[in-house]
Parts: sequence; structure tokens; C-alpha cells
Amino acid sequence: MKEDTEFQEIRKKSPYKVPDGFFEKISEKTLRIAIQREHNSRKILIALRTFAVAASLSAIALLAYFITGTEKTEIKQLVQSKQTEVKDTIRQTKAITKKITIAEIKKEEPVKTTIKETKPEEITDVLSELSDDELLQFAAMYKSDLFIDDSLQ
Amino acid sequence: MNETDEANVFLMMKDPRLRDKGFLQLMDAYKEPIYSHIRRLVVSHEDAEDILQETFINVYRFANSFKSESRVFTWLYRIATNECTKHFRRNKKWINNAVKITEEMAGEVSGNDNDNSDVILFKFQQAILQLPEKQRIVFNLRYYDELSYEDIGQILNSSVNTLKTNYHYASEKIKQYLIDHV
Repeated sequence: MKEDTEFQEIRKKSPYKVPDGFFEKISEKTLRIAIQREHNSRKILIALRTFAVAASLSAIALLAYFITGTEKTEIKQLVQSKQTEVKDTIRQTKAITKKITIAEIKKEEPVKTTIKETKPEEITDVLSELSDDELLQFAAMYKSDLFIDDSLQ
Repeated sequence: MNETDEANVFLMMKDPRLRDKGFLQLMDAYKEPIYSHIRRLVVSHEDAEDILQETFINVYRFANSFKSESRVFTWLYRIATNECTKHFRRNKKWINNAVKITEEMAGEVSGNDNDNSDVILFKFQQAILQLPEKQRIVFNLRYYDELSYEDIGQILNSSVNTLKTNYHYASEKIKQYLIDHV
């Protein structure tokens, strides 16, 4: 094989030196690091899982808060708008009532009634106003009236 | 470590009580060739140590996911090579550092009464460091670790023909470098 004859003058030896005792210690050292790292990665894994669970719960709580919060806000807004509407209606009603009352009051101002003071009628005045016929009739009725005392006649 | 031993080690690693023992057996069997492979790629001993540890920590973590379709050593080389590639991506200036270390070592060797072959050895390493990443990895696996193209194909997820081409170009470039610099 051609490859086998290549670089024959160069020894297949690594020119780089290795510190004394390096290979004796490296296996134990590497095992210690491997165990430590696995222990740490387990811790990290547990921490990550805990964090993931906490994050999920927080996300759910936050989501629930936002959903209910939005509903509450909507209800509050609805209540507020309704309250405003009712207040407006009341205000308007009051204003109308006031206008009507004031107008009506203005319209229905008490009418000054003048009571004429009349003197009590006297029998002579009444008789004077009667005609002769009426006087005759009146006299006739007086005589025939059952309820008038005869002694007075 | 033969295939039966490898299978036994993985059985041990799947048992929580024997896991650490199995891991130590596996690491003791492969730490030197894997370290050499990493060291040739990254040059710095500190980086090679870190990558070797990362490689075997991954083995410890993912031993359960290992499928016995491939050999253990190809799986280990694959993890180690991937860790080296990550190192190259993370440290853009790693090559400058590697060249500097190699030059310093070459300087130390040439200043002493060493055999001329040691100087050539460093020049050879400098030539390998000039190669593109893929060619450098293929050349190291083929030349130093003496792996078959089929095994290298499993390690690098490449076809045999592509690997042969990579190796060919790499060796041509190295020859040219040695002609120019030695």
C-alpha cells in the first residue's frame, strides 16, 4: 500500500510531552467531576421543573385574573354607564318637573276675587221691588199658607 | 479492550451500583489513545486535558444511549473529535497558540544535542497544523491512530472515498511543506 511507505523517515511518535503522573490521576478526577456535574444537573433540572410549574401556575393565575378582571371592569363600566344614564334621566326629569312647576305656578297665579260686600236685604226693599200683581199673589199665599200662625194674621 | 470486554463494561455502566467501576475500566483502557488524538489536534496540554475530561464526562452521562451497532472506540473518538471541533469554534485563535507551542518545542529540541529526527518530528507537526481542519483530522486518525477508512467514516460521518481524497491532499501538502521547510 502506498500510504504505508509515506513518511517512513518520520517516527509515528507524538512529540508532545505529557506531565508526569497525568494518566494515573485523570480517571478518578474525571469521575469526580462527572458525578458532581450529574448531581448539579439534577439540581438544575429540579429547579427548572419547579420553576416551570411555578411559572405555569402564575400564568394560569394571571390569565384568570385578567379574564375575571376584564369581566369586572366590563360590569363596572356597565353599571357606571347605567348609573350615569339613570342620573341623567333623573336630572332631566327634575329639570322638566321644575320647568313645568314653575310654568304652571306662573300660569296659575291666584286670581284675585273681589267679594262685594252687600248689605242684608230688608223686607221693605223687597216689597218695593215687587209689582202689584206679585204683591197680590204674595198676599194671597200668606193667607192660605198652612204654616203661618193664624194669630199673626 | 476487545468487543466482549466493551460489552461487559457497558453492562456495568448501565447498572447504577457498578456504573462508576465500569466507567473507570473504560477510561483506563482508552484514556491514552484518546488523549493523544486530542493532543495532536489541539496541541496544548491544558486544552487536551479539558477535552479529554469533557469526552469521558459525556460517556458517563450518555452511556445508556450508546448503541452497540458501532465499536466503543469509534464512539469515543467521535465524541472526542466533536469536542475538539467545538474547541476550534469557541477559540478562534487556538491555531496561533498551537503553532506557537510547536515552534517553542522545536526551538528547544534544536538547541539541545537531540537527534535530527526530533526536529523533523516538529516540522512534521507544523506541516499538519497548516492543513484545513477536516484534512488534519483525517490525516491524524489515519496516520497516527492507524484507523481504517471505515472506522474514520463512522467517526466523521463521511464516505470512504471522501476520506481517501482528504488523506491524499493532506499528505501532498505535508510533503510540500517539508520540502520547503526542512
